[in-house]
Amino acid sequence: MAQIQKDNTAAQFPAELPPLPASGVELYDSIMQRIEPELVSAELPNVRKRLQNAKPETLKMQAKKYLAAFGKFQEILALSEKRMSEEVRVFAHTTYAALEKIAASIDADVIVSLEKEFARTEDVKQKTPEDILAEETAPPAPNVL
Amino acid sequence: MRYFFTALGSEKEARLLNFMGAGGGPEMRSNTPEPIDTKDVPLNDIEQSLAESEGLLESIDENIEGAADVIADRVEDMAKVSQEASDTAVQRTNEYLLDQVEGGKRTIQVLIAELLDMNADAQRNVEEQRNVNVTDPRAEELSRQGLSMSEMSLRLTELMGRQVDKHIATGGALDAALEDQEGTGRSKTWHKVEGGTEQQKEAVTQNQRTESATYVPDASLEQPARDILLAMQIAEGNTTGDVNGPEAYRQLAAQFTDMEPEDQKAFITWMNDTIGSLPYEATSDIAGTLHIDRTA
Repeated sequence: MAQIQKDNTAAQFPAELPPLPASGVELYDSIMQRIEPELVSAELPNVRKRLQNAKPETLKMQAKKYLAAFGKFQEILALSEKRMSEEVRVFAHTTYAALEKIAASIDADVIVSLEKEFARTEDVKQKTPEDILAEETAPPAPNVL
Repeated sequence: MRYFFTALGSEKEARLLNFMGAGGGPEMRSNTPEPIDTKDVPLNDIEQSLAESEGLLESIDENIEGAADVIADRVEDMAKVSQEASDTAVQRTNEYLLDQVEGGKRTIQVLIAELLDMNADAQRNVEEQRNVNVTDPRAEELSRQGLSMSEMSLRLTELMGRQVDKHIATGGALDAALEDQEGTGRSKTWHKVEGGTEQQKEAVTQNQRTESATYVPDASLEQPARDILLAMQIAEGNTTGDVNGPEAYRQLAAQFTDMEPEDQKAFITWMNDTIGSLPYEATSDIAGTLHIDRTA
């Protein structure tokens, strides 16, 4: 009879959550810092002052730079969300893979137990119908008295 | 033979559904679709706002007085829309993550239930059951992982609760502003959900259960617990009196076994807080049996 092989390698269960940003502002700042540091949350109150102090000929140019930054932000936000989603997917995959391994180990134990039970049953020789018929038609034991 | 497939059928089915749900959509166990499926709406908002801003920028003559203010207003609007889109993205990802964590927790519970079932023969003897379950390394490992998942889930629900509070505060501020502006009653368009969503309410309930400050055991539990405390103090020589400690423990342990796991956890916390500096500790094992041991 084929024996069930147990996988005894340790299941890697994730101990921590994926490193996702705690809030929208944190995510916004982490992206905007790379694109246009003048537009991070802490710097936003100073934008009006910057634009007020800009020369008329550079005002539009600076405004265009900011709008381009928001356009770029939009692209990176889409990628970031995809990446965050992927991190969650990997986390869930690792979790379920570890649990499935444990479940397989439990199942293997059950099957091994069943195999042992079957093997034990096979050791007890069962009487076939022919055996029973032969016993019934057999001549009686000689009377020794 | 000890096991029948039919006896484990319902649990195996639940486990199978949980595994299938790991990658499933709304029609399966997974209630939350992947965030990227629904990301278009806030991003469209940014796109629309960008298009409007660019159109406005083209029409502005930078030499006209006040042009800087108009542009600054648009930049501030764009920043606000972008931050809201980031907020939505984080919220959606957290909901997706919470859904996956909750699914993992359910699977662990099913696996623990199966392990306990496998010791069905031993369960005839409570003491034996306790020994068998506690020394089963898989049960211990699963228990640790279940605890880890619970902690993750709690952290996530707290995080999301803070975000909901922030949104409610924003809604309140908007209402107040509308009221000032229109001189009318509160806007009917914003409905604050008392205590948050159902999910948040559940998390809050769980938190409250674990906070000993808010947990008060039933009188039927409290009396034997107080008797045990008195017995501890007598044993430590702090006071004198006459109390049947073993009988109080038997009463308490019998009721404890019938309690829900959350209530058991809350009771253990309350009991240990009540024990205070006495050298004793209340614990429970995976079989839900109460233990009160001397620590020194």
